[in-house]
Amino acid sequence: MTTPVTHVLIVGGGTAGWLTAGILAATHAGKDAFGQSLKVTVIESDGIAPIGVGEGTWPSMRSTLMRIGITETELVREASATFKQASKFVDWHRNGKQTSYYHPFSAPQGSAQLDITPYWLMQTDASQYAQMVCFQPALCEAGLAPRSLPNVKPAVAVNYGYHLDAGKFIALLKRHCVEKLGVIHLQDQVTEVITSPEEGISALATAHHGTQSAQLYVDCTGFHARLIEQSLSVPLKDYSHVLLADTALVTQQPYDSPHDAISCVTQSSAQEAGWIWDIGLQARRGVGYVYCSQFHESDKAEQHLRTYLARTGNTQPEQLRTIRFKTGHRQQFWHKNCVAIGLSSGFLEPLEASSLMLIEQSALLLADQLPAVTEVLPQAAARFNRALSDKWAATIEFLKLHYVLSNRQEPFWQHNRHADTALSALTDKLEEWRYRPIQSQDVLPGADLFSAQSFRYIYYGMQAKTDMRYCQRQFNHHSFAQQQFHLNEALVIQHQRQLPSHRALLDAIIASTLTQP
Amino acid sequence: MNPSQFVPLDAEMHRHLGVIEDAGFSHSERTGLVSIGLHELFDVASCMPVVLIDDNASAGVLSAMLGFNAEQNLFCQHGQWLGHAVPVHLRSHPFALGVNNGQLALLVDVNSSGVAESGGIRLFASDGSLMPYSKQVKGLLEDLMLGYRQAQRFVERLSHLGLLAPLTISVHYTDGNTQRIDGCHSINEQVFMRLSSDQLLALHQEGYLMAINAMMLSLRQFNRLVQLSKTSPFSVASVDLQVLTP
Repeated sequence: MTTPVTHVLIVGGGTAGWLTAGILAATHAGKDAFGQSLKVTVIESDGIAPIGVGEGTWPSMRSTLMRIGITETELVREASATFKQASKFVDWHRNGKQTSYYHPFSAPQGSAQLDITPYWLMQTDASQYAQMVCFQPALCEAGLAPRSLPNVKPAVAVNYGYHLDAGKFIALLKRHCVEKLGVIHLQDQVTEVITSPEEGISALATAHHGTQSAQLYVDCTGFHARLIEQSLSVPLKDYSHVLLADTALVTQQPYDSPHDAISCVTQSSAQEAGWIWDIGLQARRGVGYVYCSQFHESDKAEQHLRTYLARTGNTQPEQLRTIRFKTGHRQQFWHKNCVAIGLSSGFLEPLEASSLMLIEQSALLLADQLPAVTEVLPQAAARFNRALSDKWAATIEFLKLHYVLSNRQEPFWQHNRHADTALSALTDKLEEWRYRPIQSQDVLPGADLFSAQSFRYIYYGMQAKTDMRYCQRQFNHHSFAQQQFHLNEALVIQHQRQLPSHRALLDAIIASTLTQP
Repeated sequence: MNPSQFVPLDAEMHRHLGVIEDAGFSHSERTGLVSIGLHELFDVASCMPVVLIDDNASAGVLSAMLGFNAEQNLFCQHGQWLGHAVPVHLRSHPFALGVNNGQLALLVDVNSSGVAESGGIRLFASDGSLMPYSKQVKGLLEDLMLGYRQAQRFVERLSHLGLLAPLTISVHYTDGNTQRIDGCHSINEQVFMRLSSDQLLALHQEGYLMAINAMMLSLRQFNRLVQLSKTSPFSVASVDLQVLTP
């Protein structure tokens, strides 16, 4: 006698709740042999406002949205989406004239055949890494869009993600889930969570919809973690000793004119006790200062943010919103019949836009591996926990990398390089990379969320050194590498001619009367 | 036709300007000769005769002949372009490159009928940046400038090797008239045949060997001009070519 999984109940409706609902419903759109579809319900209380600051995506979001059935045109028109080509880190490492570097989404020229990084290292002139090996930073500097105007043939496109207005994105997801994917939306409060030792969650009591139950519950209640923590007592593993920031001061700054150029990078500008993010949407920019309150009084932090805003625009917001957070993640993400996705599963500072990406990864794995019967829930849970554990660990290590390579001298930054806050696996790798370039084998399978190439962009962007004198004997493909450097230069020129400005592409997509994806 | 007025393209003044594309290149109706860049030689030479037009300042200007006189374009008839190649100079209409404030700038002929105050292909985006169309035309013209310089060097090289000879074209019209065209040069095939293997190797390595062959083969395109003339007011029966070898 088996118990089929026919109903998944998602509690909470922000980006986590609605992305999970969409991915589950789209993946399980068919019917089983008994004519049953998967029922997906989202219970959302409108008394709890979503956090609304998760605004950068990875390129993976494009395939995720395609899977859900939302087109790019809808995203641009309804979620005020703009295009993201890279992250730009300003003042994280300063050395004479080189004070910033790019982490673009595109790989270096020729990377499918060979990594040309060792050959860049062997050149005597100290040129900027990302610019030399990849054409994308030049496109970002020139304010160009990552693809050609609609209906242009041949179409040109480079790798990109999005910047999103979180509130509008949620509204778009919700509408699509309810109208197109058959997701049931209950606008209601969960008044009581009924638990049982064998199942985990046995039912939810609601204010207006009686008792709701399902075979699987997804906790998307944000920091409250109503199910996974408050009801099932799964604790958070604290990582605040590794990544020190604990507060975000957030705001928006409108453009001076509706035709202002829009940046296609997420800019991260290092500050005295943290860093300021700056994301360009269509009508406004989202700006926030992520910092450690131990190193700053809150009014000092506000001063820093307002100074930044004065440099970048002509308006000052009246109020700034403060969000306190705990850096860390659940010890187990999937406990019995409850899976935590989104802020309930943990939080890391948004340095590499990992928040939406981890939601995607969680929801995709859940949807693909959704147990057909409750009898195998434990197996699915065990695999999910292992996989997500590895992904969170990989993300923490990658974020820490940015901090240990900085050469800033303020106390916050010095503390970030202190042995007490170190990750030994990362320290070991950094030691090896002094004597040879980063290789793909340095990233273990399962922990490959961030590729070796991402590590290279940060390591060499931060001007960390690799001594090539001994290892140069294994790098003998000099003419291939030179070809790639020249090809890269030529591609920059070619793309500069073919691509419209970021604003021009957005104007064209919004104005287009054709329903193009 | 209005006289041309080329002005530097300006994001403020020309924000709403658009280009009306003309697939028949009818603005070139009365253009019988177009100078070409070396980079477009193969493309052009497969469609129209390429000769060197005599010029006091140099050994000759690499040019495509579009008709039997300087104001006859047989490829442009009844609003259609009757060839597969279009010289870049014609494709870049109504734009040009010029120097503005010491910098190379894209110029537009504001008096051209191919330019409209509204509609057409926009030149600027709402943020004042150049649209890809404008950037591509600018690129085309920059490449052409380079191409002209390469053509000059090519012609000088031919001249040094004694590879140039005057070309006389005799055009026999169906109405019985004959026209004699002088003032151009082509390749002296006899001198070419007598080049040493060292000289041939050098030309090959410079990329000039194929260009020389292309020029010689392109003389066959006079047959094309004869064919095209049949649908024009001045039908040609036949053409004789004479390369004067001293």
